Formats: sequence, C-alpha cells, structure tokens
Amino acid sequence: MTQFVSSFATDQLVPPWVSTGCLTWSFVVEVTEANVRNYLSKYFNGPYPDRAPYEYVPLPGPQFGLITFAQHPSIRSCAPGQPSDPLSFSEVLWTFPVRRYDVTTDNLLIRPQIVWVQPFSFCDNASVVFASREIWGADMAIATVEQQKGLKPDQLHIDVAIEGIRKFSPRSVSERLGCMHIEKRPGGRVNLGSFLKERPQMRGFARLVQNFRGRAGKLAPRTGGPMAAPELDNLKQFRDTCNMGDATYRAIVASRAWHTDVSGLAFYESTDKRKIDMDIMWSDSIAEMATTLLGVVPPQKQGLPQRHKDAAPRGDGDGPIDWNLPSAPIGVALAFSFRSNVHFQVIDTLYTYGDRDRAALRATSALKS
Amino acid sequence: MTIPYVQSSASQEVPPPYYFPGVTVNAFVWEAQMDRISAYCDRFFNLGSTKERGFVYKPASAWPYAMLMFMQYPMMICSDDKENVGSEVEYSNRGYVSQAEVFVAFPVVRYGATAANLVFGTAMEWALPFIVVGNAMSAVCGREMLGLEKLLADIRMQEGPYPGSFVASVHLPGWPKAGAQQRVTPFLRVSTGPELPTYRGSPAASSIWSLLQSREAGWGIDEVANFANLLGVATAGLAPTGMRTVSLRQIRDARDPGKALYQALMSCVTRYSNVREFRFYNEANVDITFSTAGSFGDILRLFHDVPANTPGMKHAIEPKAAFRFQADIDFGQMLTLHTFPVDRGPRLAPVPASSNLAAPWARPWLGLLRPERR
Repeated sequence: MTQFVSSFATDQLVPPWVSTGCLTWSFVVEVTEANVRNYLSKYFNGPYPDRAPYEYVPLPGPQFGLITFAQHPSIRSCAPGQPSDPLSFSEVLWTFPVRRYDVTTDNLLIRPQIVWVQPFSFCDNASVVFASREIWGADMAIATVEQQKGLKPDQLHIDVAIEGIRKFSPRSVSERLGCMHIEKRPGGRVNLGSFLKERPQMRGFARLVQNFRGRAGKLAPRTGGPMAAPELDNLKQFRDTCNMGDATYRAIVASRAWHTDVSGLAFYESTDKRKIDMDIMWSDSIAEMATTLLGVVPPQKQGLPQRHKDAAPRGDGDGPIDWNLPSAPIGVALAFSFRSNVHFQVIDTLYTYGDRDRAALRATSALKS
Repeated sequence: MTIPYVQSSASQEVPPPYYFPGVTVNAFVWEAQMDRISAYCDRFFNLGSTKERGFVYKPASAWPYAMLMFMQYPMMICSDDKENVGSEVEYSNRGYVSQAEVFVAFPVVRYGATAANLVFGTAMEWALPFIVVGNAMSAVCGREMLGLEKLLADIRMQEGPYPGSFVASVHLPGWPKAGAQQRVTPFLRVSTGPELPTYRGSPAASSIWSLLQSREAGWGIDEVANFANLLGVATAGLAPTGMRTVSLRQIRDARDPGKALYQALMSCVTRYSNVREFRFYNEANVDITFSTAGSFGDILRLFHDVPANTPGMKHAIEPKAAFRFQADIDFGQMLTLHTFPVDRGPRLAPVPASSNLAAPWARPWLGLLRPERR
C-alpha cells in the first residue's frame, strides 16, 4: 500500500490507543424508532451510489441509547512507529445499538449482529477531533466541555458549548453558544437488578450495556461471549472540494472499544425528587441534530437551566459562553458511572463506496486495451 | 461515478468559495532557506517518480523569500451559490464567522517534465508549510477539503504599545518534551515598532526599500497585495493577481493509518482586491520568535534550519520587510491538480493517476485546442 506522508499536523491520536483512569458517566435516553431508522437510512442503508452489503435496522422494542461523558486524563497511542506522547481530553457523545445484517447477492439478510453507531460527539481536544474524523470517521465537533470541580463522586455537572449560530440568517454571526447541560445531583443510587424488575422494557438494553462496559477488573474478550467488546460502526466521508454534494471518499469503518480495570461502578435513577437534568440549549446549529437524532421537541420559551440562572456565564479566556438560549429537556431513564482503562482499536474498513464501479471501469479499460 | 455526501446542519465542512471583506493583513518577509523548501517540495509534492508525475516542484529561485502572514477576518462568508444538498438552510444563508489565521508561505514553481507540460503546465504556486486558525470549523474544513495542514490555535493580535504597532502571539497544543503530557504553550510571538514614518528614526536605506527596489521582490509582494490594485490593470492581466496555493490532500487508511487511500495536489486561489491602508513597519524593530521546545521544533524545521541547542528553546528570525494592509479577499477556484496513483491494498482497486496541470494562463488556450466533450 502507498505510504501516508505524515507531519506534525497529522501526528494525532493514531489508533490503537489506551486511555488510563478514564471517568465515564453514561445516561440512558429513550428515543423513537423513527429517529433510529431515519438515521440508519440516511447514513448507512442508502445507495451511494452502490449499496453496502449490510443492512442496519433498529433493535426490536423500545429504542434506548447512551449520552456519555468521558474524561480521559491520560491517553496515548500504542500504534507502532507513531508518536505515543500522552494527551488528555473530555468528550460527550451519543451512541445507540442497532442490528446489522449481511446482505447476500440474493438480497437475503443473514448473520445478524448487534453493533453500536455514534451519530455525533463533542470533544475539547483538536488533536483527538482530527484523528477521530480523519482516521476512524467519527462525526466529532470541537467544543468546550467543562466539568465542575469539587463535586462528590455521585455528582456531576457538565456544560458543553460550541461555536455556533443562534438563528440562521445571512446577517447572523457565529459565537460561543451553550449546547448541552447535564447535572446529576447527589443520591439516587439504585441496585440495577431491583431497578430492572420494575422496568422489563429496559432489560435487553441493560444486558447490552453490561457488554459495553466489560467485566470489572478483567480484560473483556474481543470476540464472542456475553462480555464481548462491542463493535462501533462509523460512516467515514470526505466532501469533494469542487462539488459540495459529492464525497471524495465514503466508507463504513468498524472499530472496537472495551474497558478493563473497571472500578466504582454505580447506577442512579432519575426520580421526581432526585431528577437528573439534561438539557439541549436550542440554537439553529444544534436544532436539526436534536430533533432528528434525539427526538427533542423545540422549546417554546426561554428556559435557562437553574444552575446558569444564578451564575455568571463562564469562559476559558476565549470570551463568555452565551447560555441565554431556550432549553429543551431530555428525559434520562438511568445513569451509571465508573472508572476504567479504555482500549480502542480499528477493526477494519467494512465497505468502501464507489469501489465496485471503479473496479468495473478498470476491467472495461483492460478489456478495451 | 459520483458518491453522494451525506450532510446535516452540524456538518463541519463548509464548502468554498468564500468572500472575506475588510481583512487586516500583517506580513513579514524573510530570506527563505532554499534547501529546506526543496526538501519540503520533495516530501509533499514530488511523490513517486518524475516520469510518472510529469512535473517537479522546486523553490522559486527568482523570489527566495518566505512570508509570515497574520490575517484577521472580521467576516467569513460562504459565497457558494449552488443548491444545497441537504434539507436544511444553505450555508450561504446561515450567517458568517470571524476568525484569526496565521501562516507561513513560500513560492514554489511547478516545472513540467514533458515538453507539453513544460510549456503549458509550468506555474508558480505558494506552499503553506505552517497554518493555524482560531476557528474550529475552518480548521476541519481546510484539512478535509483542501488538504491544508491547519491546526487549531489560540491566536491573539492587537496594537502594540507604539502608535500603529502590532503585537501577536500564537499558542498551540504541543509536547514540551518526549513523554510529557500535551499542553497549550506559546509557539510564536511577533512585535513591531510603530508604523513608518516614525519618530523612532528612519529605516536603514538597505532594508525595506531595497526589497521594493528589487523588481523580483516587488513582484512577490504584489502577488500578495496586488500592490494598490494597479498591477492587474498595468500588465493587462499578464502578471498574476492572486495567490494560488498548492497542498497535498490525503485520506489515510483506518486500519493502518500509516497508509494512504488517496493523495492529490489541490490548488485554490486567494484573490486580493480593494487593497487599502498599506503601511510599512521598520523591520529593524520587528521581533519574530518561534519556540523550538519539543514537538514545536518539528514544525519550524519544515521550513527553517534550527540549531540543535537554541538558547531558551527559542529561535528568532530577522525579517527583510514588514508591512500591513487591508483588503477584501475572494477565496475559491479549487482545482485538483494531480491525483497520485495509490495502491489501496489487496481488496480495493488502485487509484489511477490523473492530471489537470495546465497553468492558469494556458487554460483558455487549451480549451480552444482540445476536442469538444460529448
């Protein structure tokens, strides 16, 4: 294969990588089947121009996914020959499980497999964003991800801000806008078994989540068995320079993340008294994503989160973040947190679009010559 | 064969062309190190053999200077008038972005290696070995669509303590030493004295004006600033009036990121108009200091020699000229100049080479000579 010409600008977080001592908070959110199905149709199942030999479908029953906050204090590449100097970052991402079938030439759907897809993620480290987008194809945006310090282990307060536009108009200016607010107050810890007894519709998803986090203190096997590290599929695409509707490259990339040395695992429920607040701060830059992926209803009035009503807008020196936006709540069914070492590797590029035509063209040219 | 791009309103890649009104440019010119430029050309532009490519990039010996440009864009407007591919609002109707940008540029010449290419494919372009921006979407867009090696940086620019002076700094994420945690530290600092004429004394006769008195150097500055908008008129369009850049756009393999799936030379044009407020600084009062600590040394070494043990891990560059102006900028005319042949591994068809190397002046003539497409 042809060598990639690397430089300081591409010395990024090259996979595989290991994150040591990662703090993870995940929030279980229910969405509609239409949200899941429409996303899969738009990104994975369509003719582009050829169809991938895979069909992605929603799981049967209620649709749950995870909005996850992860704080990586030290992460380094283990790729041979690549820079392995450590870096740190925080990210917030939306991921959900789907079923992927292999499609035969007779259009039969065979070999069902549960994989996770990750429609969006926010990250506060540009090196990680460039690597995620350019190597394994995660649709990641640079954001300010602020975690309030000094809270108890069962508390969390996260603010996410992006460079966005409040209301699309030719005269609007891009600014730092609040995007997401997550607040978990103290208490509300539950036993998962008791919690699921009252919520049978969540049992299937809970089993998948257990797969996702791996077994405490032990290395989760990469394939097979109930503790298998799950596969994460991303659509990797690069826009053509001259024709904005075309892609220079488009492929489905499969990767895998698993956790070892899991500690401090705790589950929390969101009740009326101990509500877990999660809000989308409404702007035109975020509206489409919130409605199509999370099914959030556009808010009718200003609804600044309580935390931000009392406090002056915070900023990290690049100017204040505007939180004076309508907020739309997202219902959280369950939350859990743990610390672990996270391992990540790319499995393979499952399918490269357009290659079938390229190969046919090449065969025709060879015949002609 | 076209592959549709799936767009959402959160898509980071805002497609060119763009229009940037009222841009403030602070530019610093120093003598380029030709061996470094030659090595840069070989590493990023002259991939494969000369025979396969049909061209070779070399330093522009007629204008042996490099430029450090600080750009302040109050408005960056997407001027694409094509129909949107998604269902959401068109990029051009969403609003505008403001940002700061800093880059180093030096001219390179593409010589055709065949008789036809030598006549029609020889052109001067600008290479950008270092470019940083303050806006995240600009960084993503420049990297993914144009192949520019943009990094996200904390860029500060302001007037210095003297009237009309300039002070700027660039902070970048980097690794101060091997094995250390990544952190944001100062990479570049520039300060000038007051603009000329100044109460702090006249510049040396051999400095700024010597550069302008040199026809080649003056032409190089014209290339950037279109020197008070007269060049295009005076030369009836024969002299270049825009800054055409060249960059290597690559897509790397996911499983083996050390391998490439796509490599192409991209070109785009930055055209300056309505140039105004042209002011010079006395270059004797200009301080340009790069940090060479840890990974920062690798950045500087791409275009400049860095002594092994620089005092304080800093390296100063002495400029030959320094000036400031305001202009309106049109950015566009993207071209894929040359797609390099790429072996994508056993399961994928290889990417064949293709070229579109005609120099800008030759394009209308070649359009007349080539047979009509059906």
